[in-house]
Parts: sequence; structure tokens; C-alpha cells
Amino acid sequence: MKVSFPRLGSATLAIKTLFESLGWEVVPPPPSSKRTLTLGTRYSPEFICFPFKVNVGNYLEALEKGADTIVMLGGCGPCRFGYYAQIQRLILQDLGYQFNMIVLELPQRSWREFLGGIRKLTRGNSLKEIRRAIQLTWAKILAIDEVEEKVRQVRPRELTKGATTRAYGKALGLIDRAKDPEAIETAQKAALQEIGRVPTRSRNDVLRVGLVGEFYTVLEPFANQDIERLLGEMGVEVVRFLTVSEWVRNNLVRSSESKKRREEIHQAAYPYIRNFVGGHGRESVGETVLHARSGCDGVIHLLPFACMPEITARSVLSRVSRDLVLPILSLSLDEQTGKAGIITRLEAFVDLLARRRRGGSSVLRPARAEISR
Amino acid sequence: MLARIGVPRALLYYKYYPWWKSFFEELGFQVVVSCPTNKALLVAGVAAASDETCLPVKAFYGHVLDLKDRVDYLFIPRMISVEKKTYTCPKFLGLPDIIRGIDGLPPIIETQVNRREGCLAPLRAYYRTGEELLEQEEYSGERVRESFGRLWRALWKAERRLRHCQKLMTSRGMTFPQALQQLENRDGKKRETSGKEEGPKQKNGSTKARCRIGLIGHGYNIYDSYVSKDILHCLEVMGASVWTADMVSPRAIHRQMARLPKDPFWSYEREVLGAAFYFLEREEVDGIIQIVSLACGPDSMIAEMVYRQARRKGDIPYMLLTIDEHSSEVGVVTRLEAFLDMIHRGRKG
Repeated sequence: MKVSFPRLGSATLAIKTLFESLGWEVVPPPPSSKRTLTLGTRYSPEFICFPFKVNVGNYLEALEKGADTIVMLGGCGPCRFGYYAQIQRLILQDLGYQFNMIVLELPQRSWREFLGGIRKLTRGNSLKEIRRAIQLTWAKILAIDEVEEKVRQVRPRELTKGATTRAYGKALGLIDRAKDPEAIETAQKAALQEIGRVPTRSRNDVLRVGLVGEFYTVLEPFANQDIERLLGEMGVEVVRFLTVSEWVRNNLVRSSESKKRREEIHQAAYPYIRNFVGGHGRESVGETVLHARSGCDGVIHLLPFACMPEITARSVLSRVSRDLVLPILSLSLDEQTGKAGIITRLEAFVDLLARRRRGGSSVLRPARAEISR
Repeated sequence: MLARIGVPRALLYYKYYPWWKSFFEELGFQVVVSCPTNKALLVAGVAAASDETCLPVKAFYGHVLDLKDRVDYLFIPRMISVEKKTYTCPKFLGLPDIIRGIDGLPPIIETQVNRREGCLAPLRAYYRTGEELLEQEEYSGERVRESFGRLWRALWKAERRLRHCQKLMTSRGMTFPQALQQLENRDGKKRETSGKEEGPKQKNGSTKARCRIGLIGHGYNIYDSYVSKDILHCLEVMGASVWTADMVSPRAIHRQMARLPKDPFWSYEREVLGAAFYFLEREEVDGIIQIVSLACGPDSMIAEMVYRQARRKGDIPYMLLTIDEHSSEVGVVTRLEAFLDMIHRGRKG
């Protein structure tokens, strides 16, 4: 029984750990490449959203490497993601693959389906072992999130371009190799030290840009052309609310603390979008307002082409931008997106932000008074 | 003077208009519908909407712009859910929010219909809307507020009227515009029927229909004759009789959907998919044409499922027509002709 799953940025490591500690043989999908995308696009519906196509590419490459079980999340809509697995199964079946697909429905839809999925995954492990696996995974998720947060701060201040990215790669390797809770703790410390060793200089012209948008395109560097690195190397500090640990807290644990934070985001979005619109739509708007309040110079909104919730959000973001006098760049990503195009647009956006901070432009001068409302 | 409530002739108009009209008229309001979609209206809508939205939403913007200066209220309900455990499209969930970005709008009546909160929640939402409207009008006019009985009576009548309309479609095989026409004729309010709806070229129409086509897709794509390039009329002229998803009974749809490993969670797409599977299973149609608008999210998945099911069955031809604001009538007609020719040839051979 060889299990595989779609990639999700650096969280791929944590998901791998989860299955390994449950006793599965894991075939992690190879890092997404042009080939992944070509395969995925060839067999996916034309107007399906971008993450779906990358997923299909990931599956095909994993199946080629011998995987026979695919694990995917389900959902209760109205975002298309909740129905991904059903169509992906059809596509792979029609291509003639023999495989087993385990769809893990989120508990919002029904607890019974959720537990049914869990039972298939755990393969008769004892509760104690399951708990250990979950703890291990959670520790890794937290460690990765913390390292990435640090990376986002250090990168715009690095002395030699690319030094942080190299350190980040090493740090992820350290965390990946850790196999038990104590090892993860030491690995996390070592990883943070690794990032801390990157030579930096103090700068006071570092711009802060909030990153909001759809879950997958924000978290998967392959989907967003590694936008965080691009921005960091242009001297921009990226801030974002959305992390894997935050997503788990919101959707699986639903702690009171995360509920409060969510409430705050919804409150911020209320003047513009009053209701849940599926996916991350409302959160994108709320987070944009919060980024503006915390003094970000601008916001970048990422979405897969024709993503329904984010298109709804984007329709009101222009109003947010006008009201808060906040530059917002909306980037719609799909398999046609070229890196050079993204870089050009980011450079123009960063130039605008820099000029605006220096007070050069009268049109787009920051209006703090308005932001505080 | 009666307060005028504007209903855009787009999106869910093609599903619930009889309900809305009956309800508001029963409460003593005047219902104003925007003019049928035309080029100028669509161009205005496309300019106002954000890019990447689907054609029907762009058309909705156009209809709102058309209405905004001649009504006192705009009716834009927020349809969150109309069936147990389902949603509608995310764009419907945020519709009032995105429309509010247009400048100079009259007050928006934003009824929040959420069946997930309980089976009476939608009625209660409409009840509250009616109550608020009556209350507001009380100050401006001389209307005396009559509460409970009147509102429930209006709800009841509206519900009955919609049921009647749906029955005309499911049991008598009428399309939505035909059913609407029938309802209005019954009220004695005979409106002028446009010549187009009266009869296509009798040459073909008089002979027996040469083939039956299952035309599936959203009401707002199929029945809006400008958006769909008048596909219903074209098919009729070419001698095909048309079955739409509205004509399939909800029970048949439910039976089809119960067989899937996972029931789709969008109500309207569920209807389309169920109807398509029904047509494929019963084999009463000679071909299936599906209309989707470019960048329609749920349809991108539903169309894939219909396509794969049709291919697995293999004996009923299937065609997918994708429309957007750049589609031309000639292109649609050519593809329809080719499709029908293929069906005829397949039959002979």
C-alpha cells in the first residue's frame, strides 16, 4: 500500500510525516514542475481552477512512481475544492489507472464521513499511535510556519541575494529529517539558528506588503511563482495571516482563540462583504482591511484564474482600495502565467509603493486617518 | 403612489420571478422588470463588472444599471441555500455586496435566503422583508400596516404560483418563458406577444419534430435570448423539439443524484447534472447540448461529469457550447447545424 497526496508547499513535509508515522509507505509526489503542469492541464477540464490541474499532475507523477492510494481532502462547498476529489477520481479512472482514493471529508459536512475517512487512513493503529502521529505532524507544521515567518523577515534585509533562500532550504531539510518530538524541537532551534546566521544589514526602507488570497495559491510557491522570494529579494517584507497551522486551527480544531481571530477578520470585512462567500473570499477582504490598519504599504491578492470566491472578493476589493487609499495588486494565476510577467508587475508595484512612501506621489499618499475607521 | 420594486431580468429571475412578482404585488407594490438583455445593456454591464466574472453576472450588472433610475427599491436577494445541505454559487452568495459597488443605487432589498438554517428559514426571511417594506412605506404613504395575515397570505399565494409555474414546466413540457406567459394569460393580463415567440418559420415547425434535443444549462443562460443567441428558437427552426432541465421532475433528479458517491453541493448545478443523467439513462433524446458560460465555476465541473458519463454510455451525442460576450450568433448556428446533421446521419446509417 503506497500512499500519495497532492503537494501543498512546504506543508508537504508535514503531511508525509503524518502518513509515515501511521505506518504507510509514502510516495511523495515529485516537486511540481513544468511536466506536472503539462500532464495536469492535458487531462483536466478546460475551465477548472488552477490548483485542480496541479493536483492531477501530482497524482499522475505519483502513480507513475508506484503509488496505489491517493488521499485528498473533501469539503462542503460552495468552493469547487470540495468536489475536486470526485472529478479527479473520474479522470484517473478513465485514464485506466488502478488505485484507491481516500477522500477525507471535513467535519463541517458530516462527522460520520469525517470519521469514516479517518478510519481508512489509520489502518487499525491504536489510538495512542494515532495521537502520536498527529502530535508529530502538528509539531512539524508549527516548526515550518515559524521558520517561514522568520524567513519573511530576514530575506528583505539579507546582504547577499539568495542567502536566506539557501538557509531556508537547509532548515527545511533539518525539520524533514526529524523523526520524533524531541528531534523536531532541536531541529526547529537549529533551523531558526540557520536562518539567524544569514548576514543582514539594518534598513529602514523595507516595504511591508500583505499577502492575501486563495489558500493554495498563497501557500504553494509553484503556483505563485515563488512570490514571497521574489518580493523578499526586492526588499519587501511579506506579511500574511494565512498559514497551514492557522487553517488547521480554523477548520479542524476550531479553537475559541481562532474563532475570535476569525470574528475580527469578518468584522473588518463587514462593510464590504457581509456574508460567507465560500473558500477564503470573505477572509481575503477582511485581511486586506486589517493589513491596511496595521500600516502595510500595499496588499497583493492572489487567486487562481476564475476562482469563484476570490472573484467575488476581487469585485469588492476595488472599493476597499478606494476607501482606504491602499494600493492593491490582484494577480490571477493559472498555467499560462509566466514568471517574467509576474516579476514585471511586482517591480512596478514595488516602485509605486516605494515612491508613495517617500511622499513623491500626491495621488496615492497614505491616508492614516481613513485607515483607522 | 405605489412604491416600485425593481427586479433585474437576469440570473434567478428565470427561476423565481413568479414567486417574487406575486409576493410583492400582493403586498401592494409595483414590480418593475428591466428590459430584455440587449447589446447596449450588456456592454454597460461588462464595463461595470470586474473582469473574469461570468457572462450572466456581467449581464446582471447591466440590468441593474438599466433599472436603477426608475425604481424605488432594487430587489437583490442573497440566495445562500435553497435546499438542505447545499449552497448556491459563491457569486450569488456575494451578489448584493458586489452590486453595492455601483454608484447611485436605490436602496437594495437584500433578503437572505438560507435553507440551511431550517426549512422555514426562507419563508421567514421573506416575511421579514415584507414586514420591513410595509413599515417603511407606512411613513411615506397613507398605507395602514396590516401585519401577520396579509404577509402570510402573500407568501402562500407566491408559493402556490411558483408551484403552478413549475408544474407547467415539468408536466406540460413548457419552457420557463412559455410557462410565464401561460400564467399571465390566465390572469387575463394578456400582454402583446412578440412575433418571434408566436411562431418560427411554419415550414419546419408544422412538420413533426425531426429529433429531440436535451438542452441543459442554467435558465439564465438558456432563456435569455440575447445571451444564448436565441438557441431555443434556432433549434425550433431546425426542426428539433427541446427538453430542458426544468422539465425534469425534482424526484427524477434526486434519484439520479443519489447514485453518485457524493451529492454535488450546488443546488442549481445539481438540477442540471441530474437532468443530464436522466436524459442519458432514459435515452428519450437524440442528443444533448449543454450551454455553459465561460468562467462559470460549478459548470466547469458539472460539464466534465456529463461529458464523461456520456462518453462512458457512448450512444447519445453530446455537445458543449461555451458562451461569453464575444460569442456570435453565426458561430452558434453553425455548430447547431453540424450537431443536428450528425444526429440525422447517425440515424440513417
